Amino acid sequence: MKKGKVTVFRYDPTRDEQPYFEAHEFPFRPGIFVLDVANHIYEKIDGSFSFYSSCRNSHCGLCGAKINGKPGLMCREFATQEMTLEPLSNISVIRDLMIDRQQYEETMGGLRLFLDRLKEPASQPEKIEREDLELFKVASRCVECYACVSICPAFEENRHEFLGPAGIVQMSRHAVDPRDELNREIVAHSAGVLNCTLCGKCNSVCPHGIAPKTYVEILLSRLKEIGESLENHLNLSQRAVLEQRGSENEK
Amino acid sequence: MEKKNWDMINFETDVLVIGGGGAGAMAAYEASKHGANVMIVLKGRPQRCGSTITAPGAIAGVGDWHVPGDSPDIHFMDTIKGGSFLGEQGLVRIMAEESAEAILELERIGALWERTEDGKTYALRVGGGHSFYRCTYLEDRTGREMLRALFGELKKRNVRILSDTIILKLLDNGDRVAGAVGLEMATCEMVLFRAKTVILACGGAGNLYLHTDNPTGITGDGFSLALESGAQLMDMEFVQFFPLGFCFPPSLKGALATIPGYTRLRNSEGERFMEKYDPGQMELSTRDRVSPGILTEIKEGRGGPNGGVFADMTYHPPGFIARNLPALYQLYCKLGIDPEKDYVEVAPTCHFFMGGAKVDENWQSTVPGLFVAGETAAGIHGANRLGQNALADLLVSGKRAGRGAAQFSGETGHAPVDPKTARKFVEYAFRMLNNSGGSRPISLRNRLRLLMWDKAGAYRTETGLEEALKDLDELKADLGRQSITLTSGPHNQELLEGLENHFLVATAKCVIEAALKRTESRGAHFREDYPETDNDSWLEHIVLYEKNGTLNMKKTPADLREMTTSKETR
Repeated sequence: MKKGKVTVFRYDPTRDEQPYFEAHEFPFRPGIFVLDVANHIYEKIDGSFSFYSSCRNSHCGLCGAKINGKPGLMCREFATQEMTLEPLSNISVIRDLMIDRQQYEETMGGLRLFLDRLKEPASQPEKIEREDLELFKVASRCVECYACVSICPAFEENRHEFLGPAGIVQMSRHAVDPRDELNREIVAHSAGVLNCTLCGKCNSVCPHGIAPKTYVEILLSRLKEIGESLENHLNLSQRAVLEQRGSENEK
Repeated sequence: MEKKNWDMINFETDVLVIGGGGAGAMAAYEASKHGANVMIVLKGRPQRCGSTITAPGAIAGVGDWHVPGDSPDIHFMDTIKGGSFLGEQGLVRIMAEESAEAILELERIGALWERTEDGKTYALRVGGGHSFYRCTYLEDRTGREMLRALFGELKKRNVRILSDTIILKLLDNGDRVAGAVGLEMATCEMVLFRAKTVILACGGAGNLYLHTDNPTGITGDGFSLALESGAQLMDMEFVQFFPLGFCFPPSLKGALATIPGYTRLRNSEGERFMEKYDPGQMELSTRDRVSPGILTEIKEGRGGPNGGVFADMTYHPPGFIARNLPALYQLYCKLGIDPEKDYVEVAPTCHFFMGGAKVDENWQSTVPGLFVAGETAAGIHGANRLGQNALADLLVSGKRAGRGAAQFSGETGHAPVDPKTARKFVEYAFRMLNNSGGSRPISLRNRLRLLMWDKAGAYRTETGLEEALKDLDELKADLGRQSITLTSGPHNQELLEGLENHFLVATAKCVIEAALKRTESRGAHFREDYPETDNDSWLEHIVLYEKNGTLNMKKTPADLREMTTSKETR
């Protein structure tokens, strides 16, 4: 067993003037997860060290943190012998690694995250095309850990004009559901999907391999179908993507 | 911390649902359909707490889409046999008949289940002990898909959701339930609920054992609250160990590693050892046979480096695991395991409590107005649960309890609740913040989990169980003196852990006492000193109830209305 060194972000806004960092040793063994290190600090060093974790198996999305600067789930990332642990960015800190998830959850209130349809549902299983089901399934994998929100530059720039990738993925689950009848493109527009820069950083941090950018692209091309005048509002990278999609379609 | 004792948040509702897993969400949804004013209170946050979100398996239910030859009758029989004839047959019949409709209903509110290649009907999985492929699913996160649909619908229907709130005591007025009191953890304020009916759906108590796949918040709250309110529990000796938990790293130890239908089990010599324990069913045998089989292999020295055996999934076609178990596949890759080439080391882990509150056919407990759904209720699974029956159980019991509670609420008014008395039940929480010199909740819990694992786990003896009782008594003495490092109230996880320990200890007592009393082996309950199943004297439930602060037990016959073990025994 080797010695590991972890530098953790500590902050209790009800007591501390500002955040500070604290270094601890931990028993390092290759293959242990970051959550093992966090548990070690809590159990063996300082019971006031605060973070959320529930299922330990990537389903609850609660143990998100910045690990050596990169957002991820503590239950899914290996510990390194020297490491830093910080809370996710772009969401207020409650204490230490705890972030105020309710703050982001509330921003999704207007998305109508339920199956919205007029048609009377069938009494037996409805036929679902394979392609539709695949798109739906992937969007439905989101556990709302908010790693993507933490790294999104458009959200960081102006959260009031772009909902962020997590919310877009949640809503896309319904947008790609062939049964859903609500005009999700307009909802996406209100959620500021046009302000996504399509940088794709969100794709690189999702613990479940969802590519939020793909869903933004789907919503953008559907928006384009609705109104040509939208063209002027698209940013450069969005325009490039849509043009490429257009030429692919022609082929 | 100074806590002003007049601080109190107050709610009034017809139906109060406690617990935000599948059973609670289903119960809340159903009650809201039947005209009741409904509120649901969660210890965590929606879709982030409860065991349902971790369920990788499938929902058993025989609908019109069934494979040729299958029927609800056969689902019924499989369940009764799997539960070693202790399943309450009236309740099992209800599950077998009503599960398919609930599966469809979840799709109507937004879930989607995996389809056959042409997309026309459901793809089906099989589970240990099921005679047919009859279980609908979505990837390895069927439970999460259920909750997503249910919470979407609860939002749509404006059902009030209160998160981060632990319930500490149910209130009654002597002859029926009247509400509950708890603590809102984000603010550390007392919450008082006045309710005409209460539905307990708090899951089981996996955290009673050293290794478990349950989320951290599954701590026997429902068992303890029900018992304290005067309700009867039964079958508490039956605790299921899931055969396939991860062995390493520590934070993952016990978490679900794969699903039985996709796995061949091998020991360190490469043998498919289930040939010795159940040659007919092999790995698709029931969990009460697979888990002991694994433990025997490990005990006899044929285990792996991390104390487990090996799950072999290499026989599937390329891409199969990535497609069907995407979340687990991501994890395997992370762990450096290629499931198409490598084995995954696995060992049994505490998974499910077959026991719980004794209920009638509306899932009403022995206390009027107190309904219980999902894992917190006893009855369907008897001495051992079949895979995929938990999700079926929680849908059907949630529906029945939700409808029952709504009807009950329609016929009655609010019972009086005295806030002053109610306040007394939460004061110990505030006191805990000021204690010093006692053990930390985490160390107390670790002690408890170890003692249960060693002395009241998969193998039991009279001596071991007696010791467990003694250890538990010692541990109880420390329970009231737990002290907390962080002394500020809001968002205090350590305080939460300390409060939960009270529930765990109460649950542990029930498990040990009932396990001592049952002098036979049946289903998940294995007594080394009584290794045989004794159908002459033990086709009986052990019922537990509290009277004047002491735990009492009595026996009551199993419900054998449709099916008996054999003609000779009845």
